Amino acid sequence: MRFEHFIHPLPKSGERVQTIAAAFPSALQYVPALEALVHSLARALSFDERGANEIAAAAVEGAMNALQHGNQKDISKNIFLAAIVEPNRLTIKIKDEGAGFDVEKVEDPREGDRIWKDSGRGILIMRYYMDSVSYDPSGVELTLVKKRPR
Amino acid sequence: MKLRIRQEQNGWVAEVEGKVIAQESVKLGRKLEETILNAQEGSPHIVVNVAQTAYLDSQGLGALVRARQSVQARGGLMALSEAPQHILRLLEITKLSQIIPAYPNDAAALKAMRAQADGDPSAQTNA
Repeated sequence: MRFEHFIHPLPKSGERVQTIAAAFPSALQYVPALEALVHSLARALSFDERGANEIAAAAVEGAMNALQHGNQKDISKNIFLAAIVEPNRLTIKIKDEGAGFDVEKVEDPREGDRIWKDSGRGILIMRYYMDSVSYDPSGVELTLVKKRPR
Repeated sequence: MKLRIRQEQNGWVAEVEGKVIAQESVKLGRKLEETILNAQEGSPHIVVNVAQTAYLDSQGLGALVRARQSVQARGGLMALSEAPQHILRLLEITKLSQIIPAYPNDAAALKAMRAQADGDPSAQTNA
């Protein structure tokens, strides 16, 4: 799999769009590197420390879902990260090599006895931290969007 | 993440500093579990001090939920202390504030848990 599997809209005339891409093996020890990359990028884009933490935390949740549920912790499979920097927003895309899933079928972790489960809160947390959270129809590519500070 | 665990008169205090993500969340869960299992007293109480916690990922929250269950199974209680606004908000949006109370400081948390264990239901309050 290559990075061009990410499909980005082409920049409009005169609009500056920069993309950073990286791939990480599906193992827990690589997640802090992904977190550090996203945090550094967010700080460089003038997000304050709290904002950068929140974006990085959302990326971690996406990466953990990709690692555990998508790639089933298979270290031979990669997690692909793309950060697309536009003048008014930062978009993070995280893609795995798994079979995909239906985000609509994810149960609300706040309801009933699910409050006692030790997992299942990743999407909820991403939605709290980011302006937009969506999966492609196949459920292998996550898109996180955050408006950039003025 | 830096983790320091110390014993107080009425229970244990785990100070969690930095970012709790991925492997660190696993480590947090393991250390809390070890503390609960190794506690000599019959009903161990644990305070997780998150004053210096930059953030917890969902795995870290899961570690807290597991610890809450383990400590409850041994007749003890668990609470957070000195939680900054971003941690309190995380507990609210996940509704974990319903099962993991938060207190302004370690002493207040330990006192409240001891009082609750002794039968005073009014002792459990989120800060």
